Amino acid sequence: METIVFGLRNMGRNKARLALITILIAIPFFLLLALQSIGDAVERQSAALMRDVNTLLQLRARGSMGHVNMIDQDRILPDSVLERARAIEHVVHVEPYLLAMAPITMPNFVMHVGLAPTAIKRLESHGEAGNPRIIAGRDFSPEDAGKDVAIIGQGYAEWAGIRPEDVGRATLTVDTTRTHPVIYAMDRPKRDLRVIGMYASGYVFGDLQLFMPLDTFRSIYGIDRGVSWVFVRVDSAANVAKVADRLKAVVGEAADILSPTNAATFTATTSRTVSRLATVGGALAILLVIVVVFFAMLMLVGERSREIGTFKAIGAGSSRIAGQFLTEAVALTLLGGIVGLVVFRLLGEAVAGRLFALGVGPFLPAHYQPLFGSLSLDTRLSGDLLSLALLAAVIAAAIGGAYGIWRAVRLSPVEAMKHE
Amino acid sequence: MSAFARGVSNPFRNRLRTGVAVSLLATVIGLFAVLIQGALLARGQIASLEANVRTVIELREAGAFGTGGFGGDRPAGATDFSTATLAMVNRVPTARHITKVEEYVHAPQIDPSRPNAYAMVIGLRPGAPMRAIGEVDYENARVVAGRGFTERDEGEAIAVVGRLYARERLGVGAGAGRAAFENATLMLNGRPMRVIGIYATGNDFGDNHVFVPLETFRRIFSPGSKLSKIRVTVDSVVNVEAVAADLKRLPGVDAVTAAEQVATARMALGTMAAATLFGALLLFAIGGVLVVFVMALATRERVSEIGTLKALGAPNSEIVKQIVAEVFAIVVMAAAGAVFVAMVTVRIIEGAFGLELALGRDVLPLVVLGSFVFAVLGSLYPIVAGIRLSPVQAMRRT
Repeated sequence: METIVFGLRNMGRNKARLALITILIAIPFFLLLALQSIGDAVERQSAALMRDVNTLLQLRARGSMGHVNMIDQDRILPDSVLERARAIEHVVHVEPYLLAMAPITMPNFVMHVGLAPTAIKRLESHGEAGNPRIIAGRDFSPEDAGKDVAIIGQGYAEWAGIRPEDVGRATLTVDTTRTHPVIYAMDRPKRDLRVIGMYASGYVFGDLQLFMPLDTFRSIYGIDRGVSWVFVRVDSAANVAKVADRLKAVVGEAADILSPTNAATFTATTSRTVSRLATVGGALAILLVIVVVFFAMLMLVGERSREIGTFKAIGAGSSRIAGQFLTEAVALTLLGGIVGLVVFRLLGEAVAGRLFALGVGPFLPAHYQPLFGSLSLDTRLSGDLLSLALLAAVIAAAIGGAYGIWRAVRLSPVEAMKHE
Repeated sequence: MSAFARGVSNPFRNRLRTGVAVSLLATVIGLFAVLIQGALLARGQIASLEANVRTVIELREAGAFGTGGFGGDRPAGATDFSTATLAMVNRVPTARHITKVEEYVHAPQIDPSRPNAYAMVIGLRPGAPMRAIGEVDYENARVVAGRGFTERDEGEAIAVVGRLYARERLGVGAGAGRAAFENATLMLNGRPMRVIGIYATGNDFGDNHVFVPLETFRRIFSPGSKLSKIRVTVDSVVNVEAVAADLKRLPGVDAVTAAEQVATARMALGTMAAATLFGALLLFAIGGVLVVFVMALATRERVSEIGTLKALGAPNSEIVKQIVAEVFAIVVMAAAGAVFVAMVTVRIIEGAFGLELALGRDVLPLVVLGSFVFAVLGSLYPIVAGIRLSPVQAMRRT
């Protein structure tokens, strides 16, 4: 115990040296934590890519476009497809849609789409390009379910003579008896829908749609059962192929399954490689930091071989000297590690962000400039990782220190005192 | 003995200490080489993602379904969307980011007597991907029997048909082998077309098309210069939004991308690329500090020796030469060890993480060269300290 107390007291004898060594150990710790945080940011972005890109599958009745009033293309999916799809592992969301064509100035047509009020508004012929921007009025709310309300595309609105300022008051009549070379008449009563919102999709055909609540669509077109499209979202690109295979097995008899399987597999494989590389980089960085600590301790003890000689000259035993210096080495490492950690927690985000902008900025093309703000380094690191890094550093410090001490205690007191 | 010879032989005076220094330096250089290789591999993988994920922009006549017209619809861009659009695509301000432009022209073929009445005839340049209607735009039809088109097929009266089309309209099964459809022909606008292959997309709607060479399509259907779709491939997802914005300004064109997915991919991949570069720079800093440490330690005892050399009349330039030669000798020995360390580390990583991390030929020499520079920096301390000592002080310290 006395040896440990001596070792700890020794540490504070030379304040300048204490500060220098602490900083020497703290800097690599800070860099290590910054690296881990960068690896974590890469992981998060990789996870976002895997979750949000190429994870959407579309189901339609086999060989059919699923438009409820289109000649020879009006077969739709049975409702059972929804439950079967939801039951598949890795499926996180299942969205049903109903679609009908509506003639406008001949020979052109627009699309009417029924959907759950909170569902993504998907555009026919490019369903992935969902959620067009509301430019007037409001979006659907859950309370709109079953009501005679609609959100209209700006192109369709222009044809119908509805201006953005009319939204909220204007109505649009859905007449299912009107025909077109590819649209057949349905013997249903006309229905007036109040236009509560107007959207813009960014392209002309995308702006030629009318969205209404699913139940309203069913009521207007008399489609009590079945759906035109089902969009299935998978939890990760890595599972798209698996889910596509499972869908083929359980609903393949009824449904065409449009799956971005190849793209998802490519995304998943490549992202996984990047994630693994980030993990490897982190592990090797820990190893390098351990080497830094080892050297720091080796140098520290080497510098003090004269003191060791003095201790030996006044009769101190080798074990006591070793215990004292090892205590100091370990305590310095812990102190440096803790200082590095505290500085990282307090300033890591700002400093690492600034380092990022200054260090990486000149090497990146201009289009990456907006990313400087987006690389949010999370300073909350896992306790396990910190404990592991600190423990490894302490062991490295002990080994590095012990090697230096071993060299010093082998010398005679006179040699040691001569040796600086 | 020359300064260079003294420097090269110096490390062998204390073999234990040199052994430790070389081992540690070899470890640092070896691990650092692996890290650099890993960073390069990560950059390559991210670049590959940037070049292949969500980089296709679909163009079609403004206001059209893009499927050749349902019942003769006349969308807003019906008269504008043509081969002239192709030329305009190549002239947009961001055209330098466009790597590929593919043109398609469609004509519906409706046969109410068939269970799947609505088939599509698609003209394309031989060699271009066979993209089925309704199929996700980056998934291509796969030839499951016979062959696809080659460049020599341009203008030939031949067709590649979908599996469903072959079964329902030609009575040929995809699994029947080449002999079954070798003599199969189909009629397009009264012209016979020889079937050379069958494709599959995995769904019936996509498998109900007929692909023919573009010039053949034009000869049969006489669409003039009209096109139905143009697919534009951009060099990187980070440029897709800018290119799409330019393409949207073209007259009679609807430019369609999955904007949210493009934005997500751009942000995620851009951040990954930047973070990887940042990590590499931090690692470079750590690696440099390590090498400086090792060399400062290994050449520390030279401080007093330099004083002795000065007392014997050695000029400063000789002293610098000697230390640099010593550093060179240590780094060369460490480089040999680093090759071993790197190879072992790569093997361990490949086994543990399933990564193919073969060291590039340029990586290790570059890392060794960098280490030499850092090692010289690390040796500045003994050089400067030794040169500043008077010979008397130096001799006292010996």
